[in-house]
Amino acid sequence: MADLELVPVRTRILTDKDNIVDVIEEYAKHLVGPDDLICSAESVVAITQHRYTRPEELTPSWQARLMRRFVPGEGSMASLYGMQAAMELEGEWKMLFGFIAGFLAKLIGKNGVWYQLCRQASLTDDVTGTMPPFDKCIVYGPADPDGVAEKIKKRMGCYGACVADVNDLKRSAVLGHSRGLNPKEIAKILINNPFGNASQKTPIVIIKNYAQCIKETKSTKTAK
Amino acid sequence: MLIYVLINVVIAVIGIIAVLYLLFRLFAWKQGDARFVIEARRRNPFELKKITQDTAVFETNVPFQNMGKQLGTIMDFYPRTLLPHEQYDKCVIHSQLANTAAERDDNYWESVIYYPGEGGTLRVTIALVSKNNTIREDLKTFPDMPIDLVYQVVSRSEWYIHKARITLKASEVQHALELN
Repeated sequence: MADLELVPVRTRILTDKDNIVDVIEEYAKHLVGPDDLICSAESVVAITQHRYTRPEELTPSWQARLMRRFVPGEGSMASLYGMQAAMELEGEWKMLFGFIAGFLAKLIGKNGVWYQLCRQASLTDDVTGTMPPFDKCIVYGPADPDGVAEKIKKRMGCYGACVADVNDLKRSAVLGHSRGLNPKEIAKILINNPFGNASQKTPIVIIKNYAQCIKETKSTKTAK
Repeated sequence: MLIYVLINVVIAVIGIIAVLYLLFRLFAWKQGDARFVIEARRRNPFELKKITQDTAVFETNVPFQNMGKQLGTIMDFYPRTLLPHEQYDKCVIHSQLANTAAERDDNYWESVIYYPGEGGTLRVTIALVSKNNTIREDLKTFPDMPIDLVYQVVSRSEWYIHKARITLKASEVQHALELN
């Protein structure tokens, strides 16, 4: 039976001058086989798409000044500029009404409604969220993660690709993936954050033998 | 009659908004913010770390703390030496600042979040390079040199840049030279 193996790939610091598909080809071509799955860290995909800003470039709205006071201190949205950055993409009024809806939903025991309605509220990383030199930037979520994953798969000739948001607090989510993959299953595999912390410079992880393991799991289930 | 009802409604709405605004301001005031204090008076005396024919390197540690009620991020931190050539022109001065909890030698401050009550230590390094290759001689007339420690903070409120000041004193330089 084939074993899953997670292989982090070290790269140089990537910037908006890079193309994530080219970078993956440059650093991982010799490591990837047809049964493998390539995972890319979402913040790095966003940086290569120039989806970041600086607090100095933002003018906070009254909605941002109001709402950040009601978000717990640890979150990116507690910061005036983290909140404003998310509003730049989502819209101030949408964020405000989403926030009110989220508050009302919380009263009846449903959490996370605001983050579902306004995706950038959960995807935006405030300053310190990424490694230098982007530690002074607010990084948004990536654009078209499904499309990016599809391009990676096509270029590398592997089983599949995904763009994932994983951290050391055992939070893992697949934001975009190539066709035919199960995002929840991949998120579980990535739960221990094989991307490491920012300074380890490993924004790409290859899940070796992924296709084989999936096939074997399916055939075991069918046999039962 | 209708006009009076409308006026009353408008006044009531304005009153409710005013009360909500005041409550919000009260909440924000009680919630507070991050407040960083650079404890310049608690710094170590400057020590001479290295001396050669043309260079003397001095170093000090300066503690700092987030004395506020909220988390705060120090986005940037850098030293600025203030010694005009009208006052002293025998040396070229290089300065560097590092966070002792995240040592690096490139003079880059990596943004860090500090919880309320949490703090750290800055290492300020000053390199004095003699223009005439006679550093010991040149330092005999070295005056007090102010150094501004400039930092950029962002937290619940708008970002700001503040300064704290330390001084590389002539007496410290002389004392360090005597010991070496």
